[in-house]
Amino acid sequence: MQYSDEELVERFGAGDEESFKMLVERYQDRVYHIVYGIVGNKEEAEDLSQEVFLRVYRFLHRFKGKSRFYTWLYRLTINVCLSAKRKRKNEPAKIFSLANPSEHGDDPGEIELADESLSPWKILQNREMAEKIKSAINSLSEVLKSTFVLREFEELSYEELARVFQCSRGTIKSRLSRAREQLRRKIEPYLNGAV
Amino acid sequence: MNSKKAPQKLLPCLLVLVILSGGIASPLLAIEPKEILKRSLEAQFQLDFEGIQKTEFRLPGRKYIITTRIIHQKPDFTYTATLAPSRVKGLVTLDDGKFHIWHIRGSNKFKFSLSLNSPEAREIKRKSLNLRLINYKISRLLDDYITGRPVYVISLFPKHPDNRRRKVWIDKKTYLPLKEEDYNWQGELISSSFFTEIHFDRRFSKERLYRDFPRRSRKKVFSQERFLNLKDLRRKIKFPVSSPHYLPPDYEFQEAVLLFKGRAVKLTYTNGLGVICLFQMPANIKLEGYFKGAHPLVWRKRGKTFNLKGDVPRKELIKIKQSVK
Amino acid sequence: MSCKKWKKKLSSCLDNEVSYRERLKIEKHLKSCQACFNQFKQLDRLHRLVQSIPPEKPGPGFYERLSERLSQKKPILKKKLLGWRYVWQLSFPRVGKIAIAVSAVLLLSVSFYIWRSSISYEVNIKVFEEEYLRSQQMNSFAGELALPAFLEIK
Repeated sequence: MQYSDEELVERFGAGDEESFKMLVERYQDRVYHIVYGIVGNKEEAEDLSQEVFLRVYRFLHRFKGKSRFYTWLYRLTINVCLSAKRKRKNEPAKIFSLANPSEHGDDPGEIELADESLSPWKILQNREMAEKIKSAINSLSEVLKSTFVLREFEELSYEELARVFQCSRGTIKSRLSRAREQLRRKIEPYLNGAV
Repeated sequence: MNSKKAPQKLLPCLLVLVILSGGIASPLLAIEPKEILKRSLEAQFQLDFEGIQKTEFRLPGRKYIITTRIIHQKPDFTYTATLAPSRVKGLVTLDDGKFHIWHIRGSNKFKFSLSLNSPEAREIKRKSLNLRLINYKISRLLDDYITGRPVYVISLFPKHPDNRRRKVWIDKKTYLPLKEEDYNWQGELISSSFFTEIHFDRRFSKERLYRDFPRRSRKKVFSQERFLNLKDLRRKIKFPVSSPHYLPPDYEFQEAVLLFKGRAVKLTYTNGLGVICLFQMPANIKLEGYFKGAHPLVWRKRGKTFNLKGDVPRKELIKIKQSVK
Repeated sequence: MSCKKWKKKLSSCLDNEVSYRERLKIEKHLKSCQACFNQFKQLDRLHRLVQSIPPEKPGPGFYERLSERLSQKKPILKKKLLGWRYVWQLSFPRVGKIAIAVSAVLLLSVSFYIWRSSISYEVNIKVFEEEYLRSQQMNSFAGELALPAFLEIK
């Protein structure tokens, strides 16, 4: 029997710890994926994802069910990421780990593009491209990046994004347009080929 | 001697008679096209099958070709998985006689609507078939084959020229429709749907098919309700419902559906094949996604927003619109 | 309209977040303007490339590590105080540490927004399109007639 998010929230509110575990297991991959997309670093992504769920645990009673649970969760996720970035503002910027191929050289599965029919040459080419794209995303400003990541990774609608970021749909529209334009310029050579 | 020969002569005579009578009787015994249509509707509730279906769908200026894997388990369970185009590859639907659920695999997106297999839906389908039998000239064309199976080909031609037409290919053995082509009143093909592969009597574990779907609380998300007459609808709804006083020839009321927890209503009218839908809701609910003022079939009147859709000539739609009170 | 303005619309067109009418207009422009068309193609390709990058996953035992941290933090939890800080942080990530009075005002406006959004309700005309096709399906045997509308809505 699978419960809806809202049911789990309700049950957790009534003291059922197991429901919290179910929520974590349901969303841990997605939250991690988003966090990773924003901070671009594995250790930090793990740490911040945990921070997100710690806050969920503490503040779930404040979720009143006026929006969907996941928009609430993603908003929390974004805020955890952004406040962590602000805290580290004075620290020297970390190099985006995926721009460094030696870190994952042993694990080609990790950055292979999701097409099994590719030839080894194409896989290599795609791996290079994936890295380029990731580092291009990483170079966006925090706000543009997090909007872009939620749109592309989680396919949130503009309406949902507007709820997450507490802004108008127009703002979302222009942020995405700007983010994409910057990315397009950065990786333009990769966008014309016929791979 | 004579008495001995007589039975010997009688035998070939009898044989000839039998053959002759068979020859005469077979057209008399041949199944009526109307009967084929009736059986084909019932067949859809009484068969287990799995198939690959291609649907070609034409909207103004666009054409869609969708390939779907369909699993049907009698009496009321249907599962479909979209195989192409790739944009909707992860889309699966499930109809268990209670709900029709759409879901994109691996996401948290899903959508509930009314079942197409529920007892009410069947009742509507049967009524609609009866209308079809009244409003259409039904004839049998030359037999054909679909995926290697012999089929009857039935043509439905409207008694009134403004209405939609259909050609349908029905499996001779099981009576399941294997192909269907719809044409608009101008004779243009608007949709065509056919099996490229079909297997009967396959059983599947429903449990396994359910696994594709998130088990969300159904009560909370479900916001539609179906009514077979306007009286019941009016008792349930919070705003006064308007209905058209004019309908094109042969059209009559089919059903009313409450949408968005009673915030909007869909009234459906049919002649058996074609459908006209009148949507309405209080004007304080915003209608988005169209160019304001440029859509003649979206209008406001007495505090309500209306939208009319149908595959009948434009002048008929305008006439219906003007008759809405 | 200048190409610059069209180019700004390409992204939301790609996301299917424009009206049907607008979409038609954009498509019409793309047919006549090679530069915009190329850019649209590039954006589309960018989208597909991003989509094709497999998601990153946390290492195994995520929940176990989390529950360890939870058991460390639980006893020192001060619900109310932390709660306010949380609301503050959650709602106003960029405001920083401005006076609480300001955040209270903003909170009010947020709740006003929520209250307003709870009474106003929007319906997209595409839902009617989908419902119309669904009605047609009652008279047909085709698997999913309502799909084209779905393709439009996404």
